[in-house]
Amino acid sequence: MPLAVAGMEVAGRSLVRSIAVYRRDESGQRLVAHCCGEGIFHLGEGAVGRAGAEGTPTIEREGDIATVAVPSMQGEVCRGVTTFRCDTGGDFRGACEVWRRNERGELGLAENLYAGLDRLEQITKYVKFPRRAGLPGRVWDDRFPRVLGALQDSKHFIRVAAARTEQLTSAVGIPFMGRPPELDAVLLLLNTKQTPIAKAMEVWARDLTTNQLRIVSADYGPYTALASVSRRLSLRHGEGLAGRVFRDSAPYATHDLLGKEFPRGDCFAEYGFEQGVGLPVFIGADLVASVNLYL
Amino acid sequence: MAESLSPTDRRYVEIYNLVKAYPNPYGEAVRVVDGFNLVLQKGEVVSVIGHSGCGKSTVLTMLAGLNEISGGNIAVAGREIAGPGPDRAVVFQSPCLLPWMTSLENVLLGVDRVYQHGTKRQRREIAEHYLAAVGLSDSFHKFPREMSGGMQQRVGIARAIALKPRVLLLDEPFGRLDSLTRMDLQDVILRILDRERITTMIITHDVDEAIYMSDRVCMMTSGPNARVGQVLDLPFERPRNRAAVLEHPMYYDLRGALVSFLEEQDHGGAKPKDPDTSNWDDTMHMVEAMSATHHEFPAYTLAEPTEAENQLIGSGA
Ligand SMILES: Nc1ncnc2c1ncn2[C@@H]1O[C@H](COP(=O)(O)OP(=O)(O)OP(=O)(O)O)[C@@H](O)[C@H]1O
Ligand SMILES: [Mg+2]
Repeated sequence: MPLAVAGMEVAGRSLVRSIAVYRRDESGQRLVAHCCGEGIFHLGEGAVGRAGAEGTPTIEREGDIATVAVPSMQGEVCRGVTTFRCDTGGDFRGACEVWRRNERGELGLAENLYAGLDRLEQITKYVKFPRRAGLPGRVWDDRFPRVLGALQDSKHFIRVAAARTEQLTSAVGIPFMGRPPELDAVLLLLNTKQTPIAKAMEVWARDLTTNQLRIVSADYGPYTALASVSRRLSLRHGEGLAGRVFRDSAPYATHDLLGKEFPRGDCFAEYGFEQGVGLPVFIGADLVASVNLYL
Repeated sequence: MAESLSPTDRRYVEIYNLVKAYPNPYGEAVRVVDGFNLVLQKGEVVSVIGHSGCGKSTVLTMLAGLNEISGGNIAVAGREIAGPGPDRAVVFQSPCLLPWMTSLENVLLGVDRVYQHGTKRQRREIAEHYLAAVGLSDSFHKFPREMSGGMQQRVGIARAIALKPRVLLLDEPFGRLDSLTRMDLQDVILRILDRERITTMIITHDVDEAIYMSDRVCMMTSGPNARVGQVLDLPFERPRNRAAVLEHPMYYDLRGALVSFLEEQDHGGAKPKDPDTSNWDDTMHMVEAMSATHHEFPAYTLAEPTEAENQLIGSGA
């Protein structure tokens, strides 16, 4: 049984080597490779099955390869698991952090993957975020994911000294609920300029007046043309990556940004983006957002 | 889920979602402090740093029960506070001694109130004990005007600790003192805290003092709407040894984290918004809108994915 799963290969200079998406089958007991990845995992089996059974993000290591398994839990039901196989060796740089509540009710670092970011790793051991503090504390308080760009100048990214020395560019924080209304964990993905996890990141949610999906927070780094086409974009259920996540209430990944991401497909293609993955964010039974990563 | 497992006994002081609104010159309520969360464990020393005017004293005086709370709550030993109490003692920057009383009489003033059952002699012994603990064995009978600022502050500290508080609140206690006196008094307080293990909050502008004196440093963001930016756990042992702290391999990194936090907060963050920016963040508005209309959410219909999309379109396909 493979621990680290094969998936959609990432060709560019990314910390992520491959992505795989698993969705629950009719039995409710198994996770089956969806649009990428291979194999079938019973709940509790392997990194994928464990994330699905425990309902919380996990990071497992095998030498220089670390697998971040991100479950999508609608209440107690696992709708899917997305894995990111990351290369922490060589000159790869980037970080994934899982923050959990400690005995004081603050968030402390529980699991991590640091590639080449020693300063950040060192200082973060000592850092705690009470509710509302820092990006993890805000995500907790909002119960809503958030993308922060320009980390080196951001007032909201508190570990700014580390952000500068390590040349961090952007981050996304994703909440994971335990038994509502309690937060279980916040997953933070931290991008560097050299080998970002994702070249662009977005949080999509339903606009309450139009009932269409739109982007609430986003970062496109140097890909500014993408920012301007995305700023005013709205999608219906079923359209684009976000629309498919909302339609299925499950994670979704694609190699076909050109076909799936009308009208931005051209722009993605011109910039050489090759794949996108959308992670649903549930608060209890409610699907509140889709976190989209483009690589 | 940590919360259901964790015994609350270790959470000695719990500050939850604390808000303080003061009226501005136009009579509008401005939330100076907005959603401040912090837990102190028993016996722990926490320093609070942040820029001038961010609301540090406001938080401390609310915890002391001297300043009304506009929102949220504060509990000490599992009980919500309602006004000041003998369980919490405060030392401000200037000690406010009564000028017509000697140092001993100034300390006795509080001791007499708190130890009403003790004999006169016992109360006097307590006062003398704490004056000696702050290094004033020779000055029991001096009046404030005969003492330096540092000595007066020692009296202030003795007066607070003689009350046997469960929580000690120090608001820039060394702010007016020269650096040598300051270091002396830091050690005086640390020695007392090593013996008495009083849960302590100390406000300071001095990053090195924060690192030397405390178990944790709470960094406050700049106001209005100030809150905790982050908490830094310090890896130094007690009793504290100045040289050991300075030589610790993490000292400069921790110090750097505090300094750059303050520098960044200083910039105010109000950078002009570039219309061509490649990042944006409307989360706040979205979250507000969602919480306002949450109950009107139509339920999602869970459609099944189309056949084509279930096909593998990954690496091999
Ligand atoms: N009674 C009051 N009425 C109106 N505004 C007040 C009052 N007390 C304090 N403020 C305002 O609240 C803010 C926070 O004040 P506070 O004294 O708590 O700050 P601080 O962090 O202790 O500053 P410093 O480091 O200078 O002591 C300041 O802007 C101050 O002007
Ligand atoms: Mg003050």
